[in-house]
Amino acid sequence: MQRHTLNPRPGWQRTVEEQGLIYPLTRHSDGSLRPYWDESAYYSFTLDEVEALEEVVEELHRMCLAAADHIVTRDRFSALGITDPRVAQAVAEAWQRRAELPSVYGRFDLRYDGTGSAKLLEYNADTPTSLVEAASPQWFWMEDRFPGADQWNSLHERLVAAWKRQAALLPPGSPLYFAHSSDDELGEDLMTVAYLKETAEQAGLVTDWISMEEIGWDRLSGRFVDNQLRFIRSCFKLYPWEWLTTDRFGGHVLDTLDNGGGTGTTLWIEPAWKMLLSNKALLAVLWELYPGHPNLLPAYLDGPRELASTTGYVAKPLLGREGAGVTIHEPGTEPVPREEACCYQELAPLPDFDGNRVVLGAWVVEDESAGLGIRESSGLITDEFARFLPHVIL
Amino acid sequence: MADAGRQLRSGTVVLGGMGLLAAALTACSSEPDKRCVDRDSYNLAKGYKVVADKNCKSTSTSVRGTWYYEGKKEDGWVEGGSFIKPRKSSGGSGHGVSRGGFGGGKGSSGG
Repeated sequence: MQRHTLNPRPGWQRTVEEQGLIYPLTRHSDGSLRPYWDESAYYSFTLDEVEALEEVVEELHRMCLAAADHIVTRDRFSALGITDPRVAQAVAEAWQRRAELPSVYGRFDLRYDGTGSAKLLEYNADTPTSLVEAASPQWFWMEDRFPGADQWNSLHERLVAAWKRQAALLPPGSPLYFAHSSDDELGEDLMTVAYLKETAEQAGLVTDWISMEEIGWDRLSGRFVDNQLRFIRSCFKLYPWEWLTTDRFGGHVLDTLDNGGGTGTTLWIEPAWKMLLSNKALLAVLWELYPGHPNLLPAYLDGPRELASTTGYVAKPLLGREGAGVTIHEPGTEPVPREEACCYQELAPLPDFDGNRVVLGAWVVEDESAGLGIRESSGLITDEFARFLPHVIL
Repeated sequence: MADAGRQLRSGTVVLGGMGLLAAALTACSSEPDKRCVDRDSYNLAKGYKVVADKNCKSTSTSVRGTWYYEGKKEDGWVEGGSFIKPRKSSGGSGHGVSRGGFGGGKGSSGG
């Protein structure tokens, strides 16, 4: 794994915009706009490195499924902060009927520097983004810059194949809706959903649009409806389950939930059991089930334990996104109690490449490794100011 | 160079309607009513001071320009709008249908 600098292609901003990345610049708190898509550098990997990482990803995914099963069968929902018995029931049922529920993708965040074992930082399995840039502009960048080379990136083909394979699980006679929240000013959520919709159409599915805010509740029929008052039978939502079940319509979601096999009237993708994987408590459950595993970092729910004095630790809110609420505690500093429920994970500082802190986003489609997206940040927490860099296998 | 027998990349990436959508979204004509304002200028009586659009487009300006949507403008100041881009008007209300039961100011849902 190496970082190389390279002159950006002339007109790169327009190029990546046409390829779906309509947010190529990020506005920083000082008001300046800096590239989010950053092709002034790239990473190269050897095939051996990528093949080893693929194995890690698929093993971690299997371990996460085993941890999910453990949480359901041992009724550990309270460790995840899931206290509403109706929600726990819906998640448990979704897990048990998962063969009947479409489930598409997820992204592992890994700490890896080209030497030693990759370490799992977290699993974004419910509403992962940075998909568009990994699947599309990164692929076209390789075509321009390294024609004929390879890239750890079969996202597009695998997403189309996943929709084809799972089409039979969708309720017949009604489009699959793709929903994002219009509160996302940047356009990232919209384009993520647009891209997934595109892959579903290429798989032959009939699809339609709606925003989460536009989804209607028809009191007469007791069903969710679109803008033309048609029933919404199935919906891909880029909207976390913890909001879906606690918003004003949350009760309706549970009342009408098609949790596999036509048990209700509206089926949501990703399915409810993904709540088990996207919750940071998963990291502590994994460490409990696989203590000392080379791809895991020690993680606890009851406090930092020995990490406070040995390695230092990172406190992550159970349901945080994009680095929000994450705090870093160097070894020997006084543990700071957190009000909200957190997962306390060993501090494994992101590797430094030419002054940039790097995290690997390793994609899973269905149950298989599907590609890589690299983000760099200036600090140890990968937040909304991170930059995306392409990679190639050489 | 990677082993020719095994490819880890997609053979091809096809973007149909999505490319058109991206083009429409980056074109100015699809924008709702908006004005560039100095985010640090808030005045209780008058709102935000309107500044040149270049402050919202360029990186090298002294003013922290931010787009402000659908406000009422008076004497170079604007108020009553929002920094959040307005949603499209929803169709088909009435008939016992309620909307807006999801969402509401949480920002991006992705991670």
